[in-house]
Amino acid sequence: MTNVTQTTVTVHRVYINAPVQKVWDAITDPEWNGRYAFHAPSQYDLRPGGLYVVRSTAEMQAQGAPDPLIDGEVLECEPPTRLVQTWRAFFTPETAAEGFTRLTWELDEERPGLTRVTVTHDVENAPNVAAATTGDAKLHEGGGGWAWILSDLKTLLESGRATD
Amino acid sequence: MTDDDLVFKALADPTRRFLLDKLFVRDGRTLTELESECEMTRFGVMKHLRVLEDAHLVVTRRSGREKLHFLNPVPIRLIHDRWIDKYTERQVSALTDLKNRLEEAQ
Repeated sequence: MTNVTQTTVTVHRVYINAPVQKVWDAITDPEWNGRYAFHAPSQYDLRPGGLYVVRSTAEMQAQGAPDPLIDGEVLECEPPTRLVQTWRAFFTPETAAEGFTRLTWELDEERPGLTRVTVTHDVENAPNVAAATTGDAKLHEGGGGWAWILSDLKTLLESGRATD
Repeated sequence: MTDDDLVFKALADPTRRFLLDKLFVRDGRTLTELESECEMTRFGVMKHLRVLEDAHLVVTRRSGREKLHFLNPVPIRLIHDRWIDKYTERQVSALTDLKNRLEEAQ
């Protein structure tokens, strides 16, 4: 008997010195979520069945980025601690063809003012999406993935300033 | 210890780097799987995984009766953004490119 567990899930976690509600807003409110990482605002209709869409910026489109960049649907929403959604990336024809993946955001209060953010991405049958989101490309090629997004989210919330 | 200290301490051991490399190749493994790749007792591997967990480089999730270990690259990214970007990104990438090219040429 082999004891090998095949998994097609990635887990990214960061601890942020900010209250849970503030982190929730920074993830779900386009006023905030367009201010870090790719600077592309994400629109969420925060109810089960609600639409999710990330529009690319004019600058990204000038470099050939598609619009929308990402879309999906809200599956579960329990503000400010849990959000489950589908996630389809139009980064390349290959990622678009892999269709909807499943993304879970979990925000836990470690202690007041310290939030643990865990992003669990189910990328079963989506190897191109997995490659794009684990950050093995360079930033200027649209890479960086969840590690970069969470790092920049932390920087913005803790210092008030994200990377340019 | 600060978070950065915990990450540097965790990375300062070859067995722990080996475990991270194993998870990089294939994520979400059980202790039993990881142990089978190490020449070390189960208890020793557990201890190393504990240090990696304390540094948040490994995140565990339950899947049924199994506890799966996932590589969390975010702390390394934070160090990258804090240190590498600030001082030396261009030089470092030039050197790593050179290293990669020389090694490929062998």
